[in-house]
Amino acid sequence: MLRYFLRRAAAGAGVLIIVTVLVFGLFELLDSDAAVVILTRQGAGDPSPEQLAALRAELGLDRPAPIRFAEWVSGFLRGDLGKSLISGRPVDDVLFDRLANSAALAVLTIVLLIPLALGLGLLAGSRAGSRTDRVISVAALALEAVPSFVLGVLLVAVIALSLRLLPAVSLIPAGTSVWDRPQVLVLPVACLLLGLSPHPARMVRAQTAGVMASEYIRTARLNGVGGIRLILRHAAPNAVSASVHPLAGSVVGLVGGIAVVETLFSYPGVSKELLIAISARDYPFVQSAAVLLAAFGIGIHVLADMFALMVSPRARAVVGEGRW
Amino acid sequence: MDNLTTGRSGIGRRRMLTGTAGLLGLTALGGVPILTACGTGAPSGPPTGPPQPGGRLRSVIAGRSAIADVLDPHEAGSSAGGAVSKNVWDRLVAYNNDLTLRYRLARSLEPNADGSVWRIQLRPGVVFSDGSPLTSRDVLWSFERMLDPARSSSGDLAMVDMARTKADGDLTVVVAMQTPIADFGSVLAGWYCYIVKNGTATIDERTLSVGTGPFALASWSPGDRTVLRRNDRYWDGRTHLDEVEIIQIAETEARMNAFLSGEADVVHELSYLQARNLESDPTAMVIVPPEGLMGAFQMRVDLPPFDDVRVRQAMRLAVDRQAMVDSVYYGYGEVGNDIYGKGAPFYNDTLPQRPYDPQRARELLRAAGKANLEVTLPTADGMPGMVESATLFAEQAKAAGITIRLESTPADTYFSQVTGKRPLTHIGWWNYSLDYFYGQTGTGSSPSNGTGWRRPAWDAKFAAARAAMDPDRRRGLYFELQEELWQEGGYILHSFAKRPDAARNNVGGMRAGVPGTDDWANYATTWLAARG
Repeated sequence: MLRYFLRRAAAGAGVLIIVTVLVFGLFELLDSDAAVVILTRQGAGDPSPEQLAALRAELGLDRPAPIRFAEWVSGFLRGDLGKSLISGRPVDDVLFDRLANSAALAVLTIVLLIPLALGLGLLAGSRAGSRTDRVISVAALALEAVPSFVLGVLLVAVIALSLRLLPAVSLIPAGTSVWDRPQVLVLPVACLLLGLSPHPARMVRAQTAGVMASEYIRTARLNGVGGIRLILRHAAPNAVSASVHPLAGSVVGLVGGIAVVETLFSYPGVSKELLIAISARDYPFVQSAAVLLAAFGIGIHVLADMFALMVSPRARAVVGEGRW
Repeated sequence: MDNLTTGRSGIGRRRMLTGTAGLLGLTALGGVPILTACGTGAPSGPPTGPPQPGGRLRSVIAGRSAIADVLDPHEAGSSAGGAVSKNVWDRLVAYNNDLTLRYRLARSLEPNADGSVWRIQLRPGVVFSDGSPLTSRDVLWSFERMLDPARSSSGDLAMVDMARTKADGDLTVVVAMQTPIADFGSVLAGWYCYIVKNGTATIDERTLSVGTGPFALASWSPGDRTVLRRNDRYWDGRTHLDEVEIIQIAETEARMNAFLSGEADVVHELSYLQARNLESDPTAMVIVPPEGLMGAFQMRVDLPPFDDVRVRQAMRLAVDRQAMVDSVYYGYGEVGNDIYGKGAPFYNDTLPQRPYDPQRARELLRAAGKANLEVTLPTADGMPGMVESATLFAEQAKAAGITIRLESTPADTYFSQVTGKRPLTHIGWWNYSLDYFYGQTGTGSSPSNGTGWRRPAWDAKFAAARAAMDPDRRRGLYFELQEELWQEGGYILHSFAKRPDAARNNVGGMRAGVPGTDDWANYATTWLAARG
């Protein structure tokens, strides 16, 4: 079991290294650099080649890519994330602040997502074919078919602009924490839940429905086990283990979902910052943020594997026999 | 710039004595009479009566990310950066909406006979917000700071020879030029050319440097917001607001949502459609500037198929300008006539308006052996109306037998990587003097020559126009230069789009400003009426 975990963790680290190199490589392929961005202003002309050359030399962009990459890696491993090419501000000044804001969004979403998806799935699956099941299934399918930014725009239009119940933009004045104005979290989290919960809910429902139709549940029923107890004791464990991976997928999908939501609500999180940093060609920030986000995604998947093992006896047996 | 060259200290009401006096009539179209009196844009908007003091104005505007944001007025290129800079610091001279100049910290600018030396007289009695008086040393320091190669300042003062530039007493600076220049005023009115206090080094959230503007810095959080408080020592009239909060939101939709949901009193840089929708909102007013920004495509005159002048003329006849203004800019604009700078001094408004004539375009293409022309137009969602104008142009050009294939490219690098590098592209400049614009785009040695227009004779005439100290001779030369471009140049300048702003109805004294000019996002005269 421990050996299996270590192997998975090592594989995860390998993936992370590949991602790091890939991000840097893709970044090198982009068609301009920070020097161009600094010297170009909206509604004005191009910088002269001499200006560009001078600024590139000053920023160290004129050195070969491998050297710059090695420099970034050695800094990163020492905990020095470098400085913004555009403003000279240390990356960690901004990054951790923004990560905390994004984490608030993510944690809140996960805490609500898991019981919501499990509850709805079990409710629908335990009464397959009933009206409750049909309503939940159709709603989940419909929501899954709509891109989350469309839902977000609708939410803003109805709840924020027409009914004036909640702020339409999630501004958090610098120096204050997101928890000082919790109302700015409601719409972004609602938008994420609507986007992320349908898929795992439908998986749980399918699994539960399958279990409920099985021989062993019928036996349990004949033995007088019924209602809630039947579902929680006998059907749920199987359903939960089947839903671990879809749920982990949703959690990783959070990274992409949060990017959309942060842009839509102008929420000061890491994804929005990352998107702007990419367009500003600010590679120290992009590298650091991308690697941390990738680490988060890989970490969640490794954890999901371990959790699935714990709740699924059959898989434990397979791993225990060393067939992995 | 006759009022600058005659040496009269042109404080108070000045009028450009150019043949383009029709400009003053134009400003009325914006619904806002703009006086060219120094530092007074006329207030607009529903709240009437005398301005009420006090209050905090919240304004939303496009900005930069937290990691990239800068506060230094010599470096801040974003809209938000520009808004902060002009409310905290002053320039020596600044642009009016029609690109004439108003004196600010300078009382006069006087060139010698050939423009190789300029004498700047400073306005007496100006103090920084910490009480120290403005002197020639502050000006010299600011120039040095902008020219310092160790700083990434974008102020363009390359023509100034600092080694021979000297102070002459406390209120006079004598500026020596590397090459003679007839219009130094337009340079000093440039986006970055602010005067900071002598000795100012770093300008960030820890230093919060002082300026001479209507407000002083209270706090700055990069990428998020800047808070300003009233500068009671301001030299140019009383400022009404206690505080101004300039909030940055990059996304147009989110910015508008902030305004609509009451998180802001003023919103800048709306899309044209948003402005049109807001017209019917009784609690808000749309502020339309008197002049528009160029909406244009450019053809490379040195690349096929546009190296044949008949093809260029055909392309220009294949665009329905009025339809562009009506459907792309929702009526917020005027038709263009293929030359830059409507409303600017020396703009040639005597040329006939080029019509939409697909039939004539067909004939020209046939004559050039290019019937059924096919061209590619790279486009991107880089500025409001860009993609829409490309789509509409492709539609309109079909009537002339021209097929325009649209190609989608990344928006964030369109203006640095695509424009001017392919035969047919979008081009978008804000409003500058013709002097500056053609210097940047029109000559063989211009850094941003996106039409490949390289004609030694034109360059020579342009050099003569720039150096002509006599305004009538200058105008004559400029008119000829523009006529040649109108006949044979590479711009398809279809519209001048007026970028609207909006404010709540309790906001008084907002000025209708063209982006980049002194009145735009300037809150010196703004006030808040008590909410009813």
